[in-house]
Amino acid sequence: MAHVELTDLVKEFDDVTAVDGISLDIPDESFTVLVGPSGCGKTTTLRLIAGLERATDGEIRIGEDIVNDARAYERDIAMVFQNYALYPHKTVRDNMRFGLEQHDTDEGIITERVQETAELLQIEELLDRRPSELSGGQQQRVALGRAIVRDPAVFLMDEPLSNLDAKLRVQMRAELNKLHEELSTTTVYVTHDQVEAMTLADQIAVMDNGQIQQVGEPTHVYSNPRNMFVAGFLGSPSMNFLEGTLEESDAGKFELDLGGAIHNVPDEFTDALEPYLGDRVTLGIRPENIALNQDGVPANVHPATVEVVEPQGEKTVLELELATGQSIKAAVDPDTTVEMGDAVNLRFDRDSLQYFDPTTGKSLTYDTKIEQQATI
Amino acid sequence: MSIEKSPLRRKLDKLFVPLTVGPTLLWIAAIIIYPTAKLLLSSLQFRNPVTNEMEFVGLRNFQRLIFAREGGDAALGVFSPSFVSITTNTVIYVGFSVSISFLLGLGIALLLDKDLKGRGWFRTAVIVPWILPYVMSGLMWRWMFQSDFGAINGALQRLGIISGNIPFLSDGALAMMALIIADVWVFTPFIIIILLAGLQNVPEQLYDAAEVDGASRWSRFWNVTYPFLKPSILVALTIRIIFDIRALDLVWVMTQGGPGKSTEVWASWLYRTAQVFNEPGTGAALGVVLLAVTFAIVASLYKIFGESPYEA
Repeated sequence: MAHVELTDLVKEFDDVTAVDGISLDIPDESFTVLVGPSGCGKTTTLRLIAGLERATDGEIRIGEDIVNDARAYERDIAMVFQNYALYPHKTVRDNMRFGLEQHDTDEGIITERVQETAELLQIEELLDRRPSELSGGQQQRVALGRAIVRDPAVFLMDEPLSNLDAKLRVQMRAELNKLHEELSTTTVYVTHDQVEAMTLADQIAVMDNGQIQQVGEPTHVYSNPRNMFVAGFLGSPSMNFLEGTLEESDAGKFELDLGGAIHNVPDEFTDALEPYLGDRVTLGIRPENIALNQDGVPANVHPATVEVVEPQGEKTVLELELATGQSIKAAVDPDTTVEMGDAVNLRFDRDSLQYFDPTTGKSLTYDTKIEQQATI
Repeated sequence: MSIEKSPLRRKLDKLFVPLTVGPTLLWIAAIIIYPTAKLLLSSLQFRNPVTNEMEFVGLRNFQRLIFAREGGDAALGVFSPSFVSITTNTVIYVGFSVSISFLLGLGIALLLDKDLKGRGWFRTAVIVPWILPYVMSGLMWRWMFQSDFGAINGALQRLGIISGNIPFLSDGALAMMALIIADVWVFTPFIIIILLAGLQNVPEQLYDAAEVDGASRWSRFWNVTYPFLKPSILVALTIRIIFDIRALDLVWVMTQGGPGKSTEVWASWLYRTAQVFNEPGTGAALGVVLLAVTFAIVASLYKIFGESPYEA
């Protein structure tokens, strides 16, 4: 077991900076997920840790050692690849044995470890088959097995579930969770799928443009995004952003003029938002924090028209048009009976409101919210 | 409602297969089956030089070809010295040319598969020897190996390696060496192209996996590259060996099988027997032997390299 520490890590390919000075602490036995859109640098970061790429600058530490100049096999890591990367001409058994054989492991130990791992993953009956005779899910297990059998200090997984169908993916996700519980090996996992990230991680690092945008526990990051990118990337459907001008009412309250509609800013954010009076400010609210309000409670109610109704089973997603012309999505109870063209009132949950600077994307209320959570 | 086809359309439909496949079959018959049958038949016949008539002689042509002649006719049991020497020459010529050009081609292909600077330029340059007509390459090498004013003698003298001229093409062993060098020069690009194409089929991730698994360079070659390269090696070696067994151009242009019979190979012998000595029967018999040997070689190559990495 080992912790992994990245310090000011940079990777440049010709003119492209794929990883732009990231620092990340991956605690021992943690399951850390690097998540972000394609091209954000997450896979490059993983390959840097693996030793499949050389860092342009910065430091990679695995355990106590700086491993920048170490070859991949000297780093005591094992990797699971997106396309499994099983050796097609070798049987499952030989695929699993290969890494151990390259390290001159004792024959008895190899046989024993392969057997143990096969039992753990329930692939004993596949040991003498070739990868081409296996289904995608089985190949995935073998790829995992090949990593586990080595008993490395760190597992590196590069979108290992992305080639599986939806049902199998959910199942494998649960199994990965279980495996991690059992083995407690430090794991760095790369995915573009935010659901995978949220469900698997005990630490999530959201990446964009080669930089880490935010690191933390999944639920914490989800509820307290540091910027609009993180806010928009996590969650499906993604967070709604409404831009308006921040003004002070006659009563001394802050309000956001959304261009025809007024949104009242809760008092606790007054201090944080004061410097932005008169400026453009973006309000962020997640679809599941919007309720249909037929009773007409006066505060922060926004009239809207239902444009699209998408029943998704456990929830119904509504696409609505606000009186200001802006589009907004709401996730409501599946029993809600609304139809296209209905006029409704939307109520934004005041505890879930976020405010951002529309030019920098930075959250203006992150610190206030963290302080509040600390006092509760 | 069912649709009734007109009788004409139905007839045309029935003719579809014969009309499309027929010409191809005829073509194959004309260029493969007929010549092969004719070859087999000729190998059993003797052309009377006086009457020019073909006479059936059974296996006598083969006897005369392979076994020594005693008192005018071939006797079973003792191989003919010329058959032995020409076969040895062919084995040396094909064996050395193919193995040297294969190893060289494999090395260059592996090099060109890497992300090197100027790779595109080099890839193009490397093909040039192969796209030149073989006869032209043969002439070029003959001039280069020329003993009095050839470029190679000149270069070696200027470098101070030799003082006198080396008679490359008039010394038996040297002539064979010169032939092999020319052959390697002409055909290595072909190996490079085929193997380079094969190398593109190796999934990059497997190299990564092997690197993480701690495989050495040799182990990576044997466990990742080689299994994927096998189909290309099969193609390259098969075509290369067939070409070399039949190769006449280079030999004829550079040495005509000489000096003496020191560079006479099956192909040049066949040509000499059938065309120069006007013995089509013996030539055909040699052709049949050549065909059989080629088949045997291809079959064993298939056995060694025929398996695709994805096959179960």
